[in-house]
Amino acid sequence: MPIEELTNEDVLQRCSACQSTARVRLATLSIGVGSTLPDDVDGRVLRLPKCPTCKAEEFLIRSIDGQPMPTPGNYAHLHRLLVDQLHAQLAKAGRVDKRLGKLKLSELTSANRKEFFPDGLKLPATPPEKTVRAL
Amino acid sequence: MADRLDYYFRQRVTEAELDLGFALLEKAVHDLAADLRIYGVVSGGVPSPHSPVPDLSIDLTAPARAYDNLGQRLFFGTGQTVSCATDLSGIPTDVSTAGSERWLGVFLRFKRLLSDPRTDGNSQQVFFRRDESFELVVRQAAEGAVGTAPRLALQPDELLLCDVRRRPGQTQVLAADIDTTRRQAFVFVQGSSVGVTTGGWNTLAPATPTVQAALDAIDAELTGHFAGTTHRHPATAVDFTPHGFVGANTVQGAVSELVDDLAAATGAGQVGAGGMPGNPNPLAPGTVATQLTALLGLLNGHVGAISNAHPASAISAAPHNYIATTNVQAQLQSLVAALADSGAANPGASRVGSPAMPGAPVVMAQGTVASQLFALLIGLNGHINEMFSAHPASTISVQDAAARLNAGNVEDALAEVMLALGADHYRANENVGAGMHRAIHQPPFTGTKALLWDAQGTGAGGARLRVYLDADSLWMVMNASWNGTQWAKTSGNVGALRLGRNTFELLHENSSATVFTNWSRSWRLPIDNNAVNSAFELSGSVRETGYCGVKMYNAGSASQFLMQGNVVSFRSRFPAAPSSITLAVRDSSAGVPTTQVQTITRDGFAFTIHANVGSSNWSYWYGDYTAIA
Repeated sequence: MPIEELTNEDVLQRCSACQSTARVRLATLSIGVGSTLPDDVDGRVLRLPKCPTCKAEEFLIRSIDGQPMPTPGNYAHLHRLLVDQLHAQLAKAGRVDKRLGKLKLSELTSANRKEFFPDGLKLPATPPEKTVRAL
Repeated sequence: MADRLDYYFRQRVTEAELDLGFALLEKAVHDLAADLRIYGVVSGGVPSPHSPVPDLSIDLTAPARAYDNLGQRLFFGTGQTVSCATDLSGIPTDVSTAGSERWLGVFLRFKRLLSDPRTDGNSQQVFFRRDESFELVVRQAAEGAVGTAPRLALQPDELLLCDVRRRPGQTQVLAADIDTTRRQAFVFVQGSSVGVTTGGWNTLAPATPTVQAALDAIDAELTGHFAGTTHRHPATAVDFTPHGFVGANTVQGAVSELVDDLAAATGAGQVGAGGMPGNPNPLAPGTVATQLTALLGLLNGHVGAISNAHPASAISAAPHNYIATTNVQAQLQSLVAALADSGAANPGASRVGSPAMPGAPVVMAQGTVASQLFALLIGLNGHINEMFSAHPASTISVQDAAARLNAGNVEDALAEVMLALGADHYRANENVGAGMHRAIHQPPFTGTKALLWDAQGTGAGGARLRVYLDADSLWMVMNASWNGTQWAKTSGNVGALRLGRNTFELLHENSSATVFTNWSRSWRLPIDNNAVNSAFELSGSVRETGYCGVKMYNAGSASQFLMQGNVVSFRSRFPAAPSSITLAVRDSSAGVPTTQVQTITRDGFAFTIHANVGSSNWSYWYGDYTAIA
C-alpha cells in the first residue's frame, strides 16, 4: 500500500491488498506507533488510516541516516523519498506523538525535487505490485 | 549704256518721242540684266500649306523679289494665297482616277499695272502710270499614274515657284504635296562667264579657266571617286576612331588589326554570339569562344560518355549473316535472341564457334559450342555410368577456397573431417546414434564473456537462451546478449541466472533501456565462507507478502489490557528497511485488537497486537503483511 502523491494538504494512498485509492488529510496523521504504554512508541513509523474498502492498514517507515539507498530513480528510491518527505512535513507541523517530543527532520532538497519530482511530489514509476499484475 | 535721244532747242516733242526716251532707258536696264543672265527668284515667294486651316490653296511668303528672263523685275510686298483648285483658265485640277495624280505648276510672271486714267487731246482715255507688277499663274499637267505623272515644262517668260501635287478626293494641299526641287531660284551670273586662276591647282585641270569648267572638273573627279574608278583613297588616308579592341586610327590600321586580332588564338573571344535555343542543350549568349568551349565540352562529354550517349537504335548497322535488322539496338536484340534460343532448330550454342581442344584421353574436335557440349555430355554420361572404377577419391583435389582443411584431396579431406567430428561426436559405425555428442571440449575464447551456447528453442523472440562464461561466473541469460561491454536486449524483459564461485544470483531487468549493465532486480545468495547466508539478499524494487499473527488469552478474573507480539522475519534480506508495511487481516477476534509494526529492519519487523481483553477471553489477529522496498 504505497503512497503515490504528496501535497501540503493530503497524501494519495493506494492499497496494496485491493488497489483502491484514497486521499488522507495530513491533519489526521501523526508520527509514532505504539500502545498506550509510556515508552512503547516507535518514532520511525507512521500509521495510515485503514483502507476504507478492505480495512488493510499501512505503516510508512522513514529511512535511517546512513542506510543503504536503492538505485537512484527506481520505484523503491522514489517511494522512500516520498515517505521521508511526508515524515518531515508532519514533524514540521508538529504532528508527532507527544512521547517523542519535538522532531526535526530534513525535507527533500530542491536538487532532489528538481531531479526526481519535476512534476511535483508524484510517483512516476510503476509500483512492483502493479507491474506484477500487469504481467 | 542706253541708246540716247538728243532733244533739241524749240523741238516740238511728241508723245511717241517722249515715250521712246523712257523705253530706251528701260530697255538698257533690261538688256543689262539679260546680258548678265540675271534671272530667278531672289527672295520670298516660298510656298507652304494654307494657314491656319489647309485647303486647296497655298500661301506664298512676302516680300518677294525676282527677275524674269527678260530682266523684268517682279515684286510683291504682301503675302499671297494661290488657289490650286483651278488653273489659269478656270478648269478644275481635280484627279478623277484612283491610283493617279496630277502635278500643277505655280508660276510668277511680269505684268504692268495701269493707273491714273486721264483724257488726252483726242478725247481718249489713257493711263498716265504704268507701274511694274506681277501675277501668279497656275497651270496643270496631264493626269498620270502615281510616281510617273508628268510635270509641266518651264515657261520662257515665267518663273516656277513650286510644283503642287493633286490626288483623288483631295481637299487639302499639305507640305508633302508641295515640291520646290524645280523652283527657279535666282541666278546672278553664269559660271562660264566667271574666270578662275588654275596655276596653283594640283588635282583639278578644267578645260577652260572658268568657274563652270572648274566645277565640271570637280564633278568629274568626285564622280570618279565615288564610283571608285579614279582618285580612290588609300585606306591609310581614311581616319578611324579607335573602338573596342581596335586601337588603330586609320581604316588600313583598323582592318589590319581587326584581321590580326581575329586570326589570333584569342580571336574567337572577340566575336560575339547570340544565344541559341536547342534541346537538350541550348547555347547561352556570349562569344564565339565561349560557345565553342561549351560545344567542345558537350562534344567531349558526349564522346566520352560511358552511358546514355545515344540510344543504340540511332546508330545504323548493316545486316550481316543471320542478323537482318539495320540498327545497333535491333541487332543486339536479334543477337541476344539468337544466342538465347534454346530451340532445337537453331540453338544459341550453335551460333558460337569453338576451336579444337587437345586432351587426354579425350580430344575435343573443332566445331560449335553446341557440338562440343554434346560431345562432353556423351563423355560425361559415360563417365558417370561407370560404377566402380571412375576415380579413387585420392585423385580428386580439394580446392578449399576458404582454407578450412589441411588435406589436398577428397580422401584425406574426408579423413580429416571425420577426425574432427569423431573427437566430440559418435560416428555412425560406433553403434550409437550418429552425431551424438561426447564431452564438449572448447578452447579459450576471447572477450570479457565467452558465448558457449546460443539456443533459440521454438524460435520465440523473447525466449532465446544464451550461456556465457567469464572469469568468475556462468551466466544463463534469457533474451539478452553480451556486446562486449554491456547487455543488449532482444525485446521485453530479461531474466538471468548467474552461478559464480562464491555467489548464486537470480537477475531481472525490466526497464525500457535497450542496453544495460545494472540489473533492475536481483536475488543474491552469498555462498562463500566470508559472507555466507542462508537467505537471498535482494536489490532493486522488491516486495514481499507473508503471513503473521498473534493470539492472546486473558486467564484473569477481570478484563485487562493485554499486549503480545513477535518478530516477523522476511524470507529474503531486503536491500534496506522497507518504506511501507501493510497488514491485511484474514481472521481476528470479534474485538479486533490494535495491530502495529515497530523496529523495522531489512530482515524483518516486530509485530504486536494489544487490546483490553475480557476475563477468559481470546483476542487474536491473523493476516498478511506486504513489505515494499
